[in-house]
Amino acid sequence: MDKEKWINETLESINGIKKAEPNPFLFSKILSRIKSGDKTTAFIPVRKIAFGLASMVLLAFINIAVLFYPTSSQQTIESGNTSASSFIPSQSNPYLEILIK
Amino acid sequence: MNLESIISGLKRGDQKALESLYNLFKEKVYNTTLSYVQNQQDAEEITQDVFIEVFNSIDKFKSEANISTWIYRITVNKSLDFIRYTKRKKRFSIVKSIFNLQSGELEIDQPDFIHPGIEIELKERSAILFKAIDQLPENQKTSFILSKIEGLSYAEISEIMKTSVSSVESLLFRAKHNLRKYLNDKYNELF
Repeated sequence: MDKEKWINETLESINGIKKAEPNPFLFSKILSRIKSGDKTTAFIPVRKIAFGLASMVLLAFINIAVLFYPTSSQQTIESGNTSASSFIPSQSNPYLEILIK
Repeated sequence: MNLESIISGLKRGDQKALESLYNLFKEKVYNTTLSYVQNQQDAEEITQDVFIEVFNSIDKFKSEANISTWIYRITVNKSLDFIRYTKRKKRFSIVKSIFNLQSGELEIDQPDFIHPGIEIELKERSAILFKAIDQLPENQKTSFILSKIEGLSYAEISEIMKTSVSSVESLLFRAKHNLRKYLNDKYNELF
């Protein structure tokens, strides 16, 4: 059979398609679902689930990082404090004791 | 019962109004969703969902809008949501079967869809066409189904899809082009 003819005939096979009838009890099913307070089926997009999971992992990672690793600014303050403490005169410094006398 | 009194009845929660609306739109909803999901049980399930959604969210419907457009939009969205959900489930089962080879579960392909409204001599051809329609991207599929199967005008389709008439024309052109490409390959495979 000619290819073009076959393609055109297949494309036209739905021309004049008749309407299909749903199950005659479908409306009773709808009513019983409404009476039971049923909401429609919710399909949660997979992107939302992935985004939620990624957010939770990121938050957990940030929390762990904050707990176990000191930040660079804290290190600067700590190192700054160490050097400043060396300028505080110690009571056990023998030179200081001579000066006081 | 005219459409206005049906809508006001629905807003009061009147189930008789829902029945009237159902009788007016059941064929449109069921046949549209049947063209998308290509399975009668799933189409009936989605038809139920559509009418429950209409009943529950009738307050969101603006009276100056066309109820038919609104119902068609809900139907298209529910059908596309269902297809996305089943595709995801299928992908997940493939991944599951890779990690669980010993279970011996086999992926069963759906049989060819035979539309109940197709004449006997065209059943085989239409099954091939429905398989081709199933391969189309969502927007092209929607424009093709609403135009060629539901017989809606470009203006109605553009309202349902919230797009311009020229976009609908372009979508239909691309849909037909892709269907021809698929059918060309199918012909080479068969003959």
